Amino acid sequence: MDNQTISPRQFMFLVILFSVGSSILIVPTPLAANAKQDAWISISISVAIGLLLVVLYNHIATLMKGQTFVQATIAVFGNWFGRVLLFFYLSFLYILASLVLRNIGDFMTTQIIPETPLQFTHILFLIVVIWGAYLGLEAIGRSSEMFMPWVVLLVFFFTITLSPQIKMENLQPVLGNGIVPVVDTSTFVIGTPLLEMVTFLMIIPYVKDGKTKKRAWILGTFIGGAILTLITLLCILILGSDLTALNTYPSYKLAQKINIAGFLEGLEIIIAIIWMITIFFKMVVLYYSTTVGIAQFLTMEDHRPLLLPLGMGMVVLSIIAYPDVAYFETFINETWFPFAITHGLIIPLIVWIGLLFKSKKQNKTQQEPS
Amino acid sequence: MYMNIYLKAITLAVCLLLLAGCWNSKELDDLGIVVAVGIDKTEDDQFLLVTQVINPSEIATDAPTTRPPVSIYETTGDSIFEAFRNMTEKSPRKMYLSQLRVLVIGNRLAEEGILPSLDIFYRDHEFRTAFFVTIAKDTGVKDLLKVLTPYEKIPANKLMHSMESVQKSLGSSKGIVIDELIAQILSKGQNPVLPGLLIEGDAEIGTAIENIEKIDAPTQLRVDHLAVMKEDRVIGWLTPDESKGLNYITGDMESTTVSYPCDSEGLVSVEVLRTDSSSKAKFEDRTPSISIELDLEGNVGELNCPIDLTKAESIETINGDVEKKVKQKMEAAIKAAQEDFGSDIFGFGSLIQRKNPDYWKTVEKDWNSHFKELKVEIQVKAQIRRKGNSTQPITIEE
Amino acid sequence: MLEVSEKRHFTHHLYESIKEANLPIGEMSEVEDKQDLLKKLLSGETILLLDKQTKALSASTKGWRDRGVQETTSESVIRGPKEAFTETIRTNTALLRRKIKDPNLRVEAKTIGRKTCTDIAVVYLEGTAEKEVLDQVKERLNQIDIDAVLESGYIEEFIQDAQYSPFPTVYNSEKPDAIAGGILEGRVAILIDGTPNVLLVPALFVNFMQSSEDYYQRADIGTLVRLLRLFCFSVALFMPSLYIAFTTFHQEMIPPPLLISLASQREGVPFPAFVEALMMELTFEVLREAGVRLPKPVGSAVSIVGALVLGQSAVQAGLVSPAMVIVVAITAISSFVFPAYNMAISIRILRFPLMILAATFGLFGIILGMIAMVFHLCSLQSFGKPYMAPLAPMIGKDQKDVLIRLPHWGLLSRPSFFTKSDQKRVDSKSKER
Repeated sequence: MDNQTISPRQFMFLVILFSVGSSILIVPTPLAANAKQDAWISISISVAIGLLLVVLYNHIATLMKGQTFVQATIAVFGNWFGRVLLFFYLSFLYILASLVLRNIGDFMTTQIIPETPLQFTHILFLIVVIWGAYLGLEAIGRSSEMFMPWVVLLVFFFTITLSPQIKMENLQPVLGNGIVPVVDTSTFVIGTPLLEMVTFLMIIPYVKDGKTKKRAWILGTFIGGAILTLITLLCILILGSDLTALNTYPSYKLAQKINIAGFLEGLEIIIAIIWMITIFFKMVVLYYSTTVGIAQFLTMEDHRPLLLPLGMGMVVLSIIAYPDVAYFETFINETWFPFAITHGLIIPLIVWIGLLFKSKKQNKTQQEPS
Repeated sequence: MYMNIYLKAITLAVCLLLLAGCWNSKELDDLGIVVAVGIDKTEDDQFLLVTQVINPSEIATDAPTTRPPVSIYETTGDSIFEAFRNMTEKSPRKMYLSQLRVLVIGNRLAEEGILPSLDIFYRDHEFRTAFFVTIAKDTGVKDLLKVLTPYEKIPANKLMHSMESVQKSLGSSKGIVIDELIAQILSKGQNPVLPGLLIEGDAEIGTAIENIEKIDAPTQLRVDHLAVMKEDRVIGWLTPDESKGLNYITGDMESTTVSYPCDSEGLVSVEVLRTDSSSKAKFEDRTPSISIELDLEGNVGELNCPIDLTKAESIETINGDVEKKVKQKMEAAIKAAQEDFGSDIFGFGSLIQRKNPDYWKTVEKDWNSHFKELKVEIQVKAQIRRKGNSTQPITIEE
Repeated sequence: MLEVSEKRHFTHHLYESIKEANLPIGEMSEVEDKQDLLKKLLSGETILLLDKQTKALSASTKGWRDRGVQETTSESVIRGPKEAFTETIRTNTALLRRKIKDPNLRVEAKTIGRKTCTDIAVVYLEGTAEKEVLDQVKERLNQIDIDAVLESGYIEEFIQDAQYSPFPTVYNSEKPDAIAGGILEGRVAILIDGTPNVLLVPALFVNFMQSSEDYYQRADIGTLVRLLRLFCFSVALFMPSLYIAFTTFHQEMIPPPLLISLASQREGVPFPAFVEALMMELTFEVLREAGVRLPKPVGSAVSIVGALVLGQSAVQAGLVSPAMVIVVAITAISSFVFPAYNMAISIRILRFPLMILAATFGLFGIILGMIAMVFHLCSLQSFGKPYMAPLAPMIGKDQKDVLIRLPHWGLLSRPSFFTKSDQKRVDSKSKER
């Protein structure tokens, strides 16, 4: 790999964009459907759990000592068992990336360009993603710095312009259906996007500076989670839980309600742009990690030759991943969480235990001679 | 290293994409901009669809011709979506629906239930959420959309503006947009009300361009009061006073007038500037009741009876009278809703749900019958602050 | 035999004394081989040959007709020096020396061009300019082996970082004050004999958005003008493509009355909006190019024809809609706002792919095009410096002189993305009264 590094700040921005991207479109609907007006509570619970998860990831990252997850796993478990674990890890990233691609494709063809064939939307989007991954981590990090102010500004604008339409009574009764559905639903957000953060185990070795990067990850998750909570809260406050659950893309519907002094309407496209930018960054991080991971898996020196062939596969996978939107909804509600927890928690846990043993052993061998 | 292969592959892909492109592009002059849609059921149980399409070159022009600014198309179909597509047989352009202003629902459909037909208006990506839903009262939707309006070239705009100004300064009606309507129909604790539209004058004359060539257009469109719904069916109409009462209760009243005869002859008219209503649910021994507090601020608008306005007491009396008058209207609205219609158009059910979700679960199923027995307390507090330019009524000294 | 050696001895003494005697001529040098001697002679130097000596002395007595220092034609300013560099490198170094009288100002001369032997001077402030940058400049210059160098553009193409980028990574200017300002920031100037355009490296994206006049006007005006330029940058880049996207894909974003009037204007226009825009943009580019090339008296004729053809006849003939003319006009005017001509050209080039993307995918295409562009910009470097600095990577303390400009008493340090040494610019006490 080329020795490109990013700063902790850029890393934090990537984490924020990653956690907001695509979740912002798909999260509010199932949350409102299950937890009703308490959706914002369940998302806050999940963010709190997500922060713990990030602490674990950070600890793994420290034990990896500057290696990527792929390199560290092979170092700990050897060529065979390590590669079996990594096969699952990498396929998780690859499938996740194609699902994210499908999300943006579905969104665009439902709301904005319905007559454009899905695969062409995917191809165009993926070409730009490949371009980003080709240019490398430095360019990705720097671009995140270019776009982050716009994302923050527009989320702020979104909140301010919608605030006159807020109806506080939409939140009541708090915990009217008891705490059970609220906690139950919180698994959803843990699956998307918090467990997906496991991707960053491929990125974090390339982040400069040892101490602030841990904080950057936690802070990034917190801010990203806060934005998600804010948007879900706005959906509930303005549309109410019934309509939020009814809409495929409530946050987009919300943007349609922006109306400044009666003449500035139709700003939803601008909001769609912001969602697109965040999804783009999620995609580019995923795609970069996947190709770098596969390159290291195959002990290649450069990930670039993999970009195009893997991309072609991804276009196909994203089209055949699920036949229709209803299938996707069942999938994301029922299958995703166990799938994500296997790859986002159990595999890292195994590697973590391995890393712990290895570092203990090393400590011993270091102490014994003295 | 791989730059060359990449450049070639990507250039090729981009070229292919771009050459094959333009799936979605529609030129502006290919759009039939729809500003109003009317839906109803026909005799043989098909959907009737009427669209009002604007004729841009007639509206934005320096040299108007005698062609009308809007055109009407009418089709039928087994579903509304099908009717929309059938319209291409008649219209030269594809219907473009993002600029829709008013959706008019016909009588027959309104009595049957409107929720199934609202689906397309919320599902299709072309519809935005900022259009008013209305009911055509005592007239067919086609007749209604056919009327040309004076002063405002696009009839749908005239309807929208009238609805807005009625709500702003009279308060005897209120506009409702599609997502509010759907939310209210879905909510078990509230039933929606819809504004009505009607034609004044002869419908046939209204369709001709002569209608707007006269100073006093013989046929005009009017916004009228509110239709009470039970779930998604229209079951009756509120009178103007009841409509005002409803708006007072729900806090939608922005500005209105209150007038009443004074002790001697003549009238007092008060301009209500702003109201602030807060409704609360209360429980006594598991029986719910509602208490409404209304604060009202206003000016003396018109006065033609001998009251000495310089005295503080006379303002006090006016305050008291206004309070009484407003309370009467609110009570009338509640009485109509409880006794005549049995439909909770105020959202009291939602208040109770928020206050006591457990109790709500027991009554949720047949809330409308519980609603009939619901006790409602009303408190009105009026504050007349100013009296305009004149300090006293203009009267001849005796 | 003895006589001969004595004579040689004598002339050697003579030669040495002439050489040591510090003749009042600048740039005396020794010449040893014939090839060199011819070259020097042909470039106008005086050669002093002494009998029985293997070396010759050459004195720089070059003199040729040149243009005096005149007012700048391509970068005019309201306030600030109006002089411009000339074609003579000596005059140009003198102009710089006049502005910076610091003893650390170094002028390193070299020649490039097998046939033209063009004089080149690398000018920088010793101790302020970063050594890595300087080494890279010299290394890249030394690598050049070309027969002729007629203008700085020859050198620029050899030393620029990104060969296939539409964005310039070398700054050029013909204003001595702009170049002096760059040198004072720790950058390196490259003067080439025969052209008034001086190169300045490293050049970052933000440099192309700035003009030397920003520093001469008051700070608030300078700031607003910079923001205006940034706005014009986006207008010049995106306006036609946004127009295409809005009118053919996202009509719901256009306010209703405007939509109706746009729709009525388009009635009867035979071309799709994209072709209409492409046609008008091309026409404008042709007009602009014609305006630059034509002799001055004919130039006004072109503008009259252009204004009439574009503004009146095309609309009246129903070929284009009036709104499109407005869009093209605004775009054109915005693209003239940039102080840097080469950046304006890249924007004009990029406008066309964006228009194509807009015509096929609407805003989705434009945004992807924009993302790709930003990624490209962020991956660029200029002599080891990230091109988008100090925006990405974000350098907080350097924001004082990028999009905004603080007053001079607030610009305490030099921009740290050019140089880390010799940071102090203003003593913080100088504002105290």
